[in-house]
Amino acid sequence: MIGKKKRRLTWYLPWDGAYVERRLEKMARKGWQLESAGNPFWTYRRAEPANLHYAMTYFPAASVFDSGPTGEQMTYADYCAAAGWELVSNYGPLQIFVNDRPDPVPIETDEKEKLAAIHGAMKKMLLLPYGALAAVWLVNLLLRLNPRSYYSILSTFSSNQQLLLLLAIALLVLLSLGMVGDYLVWYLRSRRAVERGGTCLPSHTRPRLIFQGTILAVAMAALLVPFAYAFGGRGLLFALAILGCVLLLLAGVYGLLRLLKSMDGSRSFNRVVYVVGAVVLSILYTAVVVKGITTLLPKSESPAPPEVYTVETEWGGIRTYDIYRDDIPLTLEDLGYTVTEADHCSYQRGEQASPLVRWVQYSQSVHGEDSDLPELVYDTADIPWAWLRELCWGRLARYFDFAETDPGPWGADRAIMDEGATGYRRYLLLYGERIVFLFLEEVPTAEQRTVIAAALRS
Amino acid sequence: MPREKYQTLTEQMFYILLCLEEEQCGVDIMERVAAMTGGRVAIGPGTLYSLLENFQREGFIRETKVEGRRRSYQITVRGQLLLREEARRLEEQLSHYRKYRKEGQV
Repeated sequence: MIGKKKRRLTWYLPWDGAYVERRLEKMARKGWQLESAGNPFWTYRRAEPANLHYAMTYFPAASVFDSGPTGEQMTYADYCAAAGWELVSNYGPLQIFVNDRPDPVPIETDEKEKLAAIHGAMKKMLLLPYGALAAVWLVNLLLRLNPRSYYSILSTFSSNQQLLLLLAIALLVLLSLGMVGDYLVWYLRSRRAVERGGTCLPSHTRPRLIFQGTILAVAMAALLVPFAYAFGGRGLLFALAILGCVLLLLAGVYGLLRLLKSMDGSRSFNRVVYVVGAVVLSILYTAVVVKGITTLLPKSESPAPPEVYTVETEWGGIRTYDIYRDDIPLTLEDLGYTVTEADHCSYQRGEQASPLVRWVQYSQSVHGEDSDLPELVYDTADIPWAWLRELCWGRLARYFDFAETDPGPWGADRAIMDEGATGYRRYLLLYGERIVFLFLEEVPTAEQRTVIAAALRS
Repeated sequence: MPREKYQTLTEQMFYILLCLEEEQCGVDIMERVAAMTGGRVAIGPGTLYSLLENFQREGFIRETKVEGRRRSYQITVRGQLLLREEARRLEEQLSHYRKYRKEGQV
């Protein structure tokens, strides 16, 4: 059995060394001693079962970009060796020591100094990276919730895929901020305890790790499910392929760091090359995944139009128009216009719905060369949630130069209109849970308003 | 004037400074303190390292010799003042104890 090795995924809260120590001691009792730590997978080697003591300590001056232990770290290790503690592995500011003496003096015997070392290391290992990560995800989330175009707000909230993406991003923000907040709460409470002569507080790591794992799994599922869904029968395979690519990217980035360390470069050289390399690898990864998606994704085909109208242009070319005959609730005919075959009108309807918003787009386009009929374009958005309805209303009103107008003639609860610089009229109407966006080329008469209200209010 | 952090020394700080009345290699301090106190005070190597760094930064000790990774230190005048101040505080504490302790108390 001697000589065998195994790798174990090691997930821990970096400030809770006691959790790691207990785990390593348990492994040693089972005959597995730590050989190296660093990446998420720690390596253990087979050994005789032994009652060993482990200590995870913090050396804030060290960096993950150091090619090896610094002179100061070696001095620290010498002090530890004198007390029977042998350095097993180090990764950045984290150091793991082992001691086979039955009742060794702990490496840290002053809680204030211990807490200061932990905090120094956490600034580097946790507060900076997780804070930056949270900021990036938060900006991403806010940009998605505050879109620049008129359609984005409705297309986002009426799309299940977009909602899942929002959920995933929100969970990643929660995870990153949660990690930072959790540590800061622990630190402040421990500092208070230490100032009163007590010790650093226990962290109750296990339930926190379960919570983190669950959040991460749900976020990953929310990211991958839309892709899986879009790929139909091969969805699961595709989701696994994406996951595999992510792991490959992480392995590549970690491999680069190991390579740099083995080349004995300086800390700053390693840091610069690592950052540049990680950015290049990420760009390559994104390019490969996007290319893969666009190549393999089944093309969504619009239903074939029942009719195609072909016109010869004055330059001798051919122009074609798709003529749809979808059932739409309001037509130019309803508004009193006379529509003939020569107008070559296309009636189109498109719907997108989620549990939050059902958004339907309608249009009656006029393609007849000599037709003088106006275009008719309108959308309806059914939003049962008042807060979301208010949000969408506010966003839609902001994109145009809308001004409040009397809702009475429209039979609406609220109405605002945009005169438009080119003579077009845009109206935003609220009927209970429904927002109607209406685009007209001519000012509607009182009679037409009544027809519009009757057709679009429900 | 010592900084606020050092207005009251912990036992470990006290014994490290006391140890360094004589030039001493950092790594030997743990053993020396254990011998001085009959094993009652044990200084962990991590704590020793941090405290030596802090003391040196504050000018309470100075590095006297470097042989490879073995570094020796000795207390400075500033450190001696700090140590004396702490000893005076402890003596005063003890004298208060003797003066106000009720007779016959355990």
